[in-house]
Amino acid sequence: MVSLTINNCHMLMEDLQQLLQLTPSLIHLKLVSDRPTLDRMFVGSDWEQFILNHLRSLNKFQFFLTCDTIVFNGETIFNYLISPFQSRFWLNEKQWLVTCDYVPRSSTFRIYTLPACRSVEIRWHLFRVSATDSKCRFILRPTLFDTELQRSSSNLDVSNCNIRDDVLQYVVEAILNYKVTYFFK
Amino acid sequence: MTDVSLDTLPVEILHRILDNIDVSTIVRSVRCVCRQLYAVVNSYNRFQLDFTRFTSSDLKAIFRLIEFSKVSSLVLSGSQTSQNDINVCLKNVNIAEFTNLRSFSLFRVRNDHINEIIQHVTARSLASLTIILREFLNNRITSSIFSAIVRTNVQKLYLNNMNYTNIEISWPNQNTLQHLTIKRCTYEGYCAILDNSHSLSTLVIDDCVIQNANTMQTLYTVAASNSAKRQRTDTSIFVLLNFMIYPH
Repeated sequence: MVSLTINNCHMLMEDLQQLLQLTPSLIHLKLVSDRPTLDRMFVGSDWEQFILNHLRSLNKFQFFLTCDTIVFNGETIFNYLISPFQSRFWLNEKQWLVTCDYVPRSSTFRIYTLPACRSVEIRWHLFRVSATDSKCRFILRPTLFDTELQRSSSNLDVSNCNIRDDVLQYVVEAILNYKVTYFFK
Repeated sequence: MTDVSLDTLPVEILHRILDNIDVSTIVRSVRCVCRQLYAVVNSYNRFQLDFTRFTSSDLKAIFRLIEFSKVSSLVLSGSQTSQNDINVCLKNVNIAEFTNLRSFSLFRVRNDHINEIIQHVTARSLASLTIILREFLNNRITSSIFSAIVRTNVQKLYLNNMNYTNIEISWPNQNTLQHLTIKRCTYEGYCAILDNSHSLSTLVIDDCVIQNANTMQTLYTVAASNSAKRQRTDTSIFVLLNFMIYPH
């Protein structure tokens, strides 16, 4: 067998690995999974080692992992998760680009290969990490602020914004702390 | 360049054009233009019958004018308007007459109808078989689908909402499947599929259910996650960092 797609994986990483060892000839693997916690499936170095040992022919690996029980405390989380996916193996040898983002509104953390194999429409503001340079961007939805406010961020009036207080806190912190801020038109 | 008109084209090209025209236009319009096109339509053997799309007058023309052995693709659906109801189709159509079928789809058809239909499929080489179930699949229907898979040498099988979790019914071992889509299977079912499908190159599933000691662990983490979702407070990044630094 050369191609395997698992669209809604609930297996533990150990079980998935056991399953994948049955098909060492895989060339294509697609994995979509909503994880209950940030478990071993998010660990890039684990994947790298497993693929080197057991899936030597794999040349197209698409994954989309989400976890929506995370409270975001800063961009450190990105560095820890994304940096194992930026080794020579991922970027140079396999040329699989991995990015991740975090949606404060739904507490959803997502890590996925590009191009994304699942729709990643931006409904809420989110933090996103570049696939190659680890820089974190904060992406705002335009509905939140009108263009006037975008122009003068020193005078941000958010009293009319339909936004939760804890999310607002991220927004304000993001504007203050992140050098690169994208406003989506 | 000399004048090129439809009637100077070779019949193979005309058949390729017919591939892109709906059935009722072919038999009710193209066929009636002239003797030559009449003959072209008569020798055409790649009719695509999608019973979800026909009006009742289309149906009459189709039943009267098309030899079912010249149909290459057939779509039957259980959720149709009353005039195209599957009962009407079954009354007028003998599935066994579709001897050269390449692609066969059954959408949301009742189990007893699936059974009745599938055991009469006589095609020898089905490139594609699609069955979207309406009800839970019982052992009897599963067996009859499995024997049809072997009998008709299916290459691509889409059973998008089928769970292969009961391995009492063994996966057919003489199958010619190259592409398989099912919803869910057990680990044992997954192994049975791999062991018995020697031509299989592509497998698409939603999930594989592991039924061993680890299952309990999975259930536990899911339960833990649900409670975490309710509280939305506890899973902190620092728990994660500890996990990353000191992996279990």
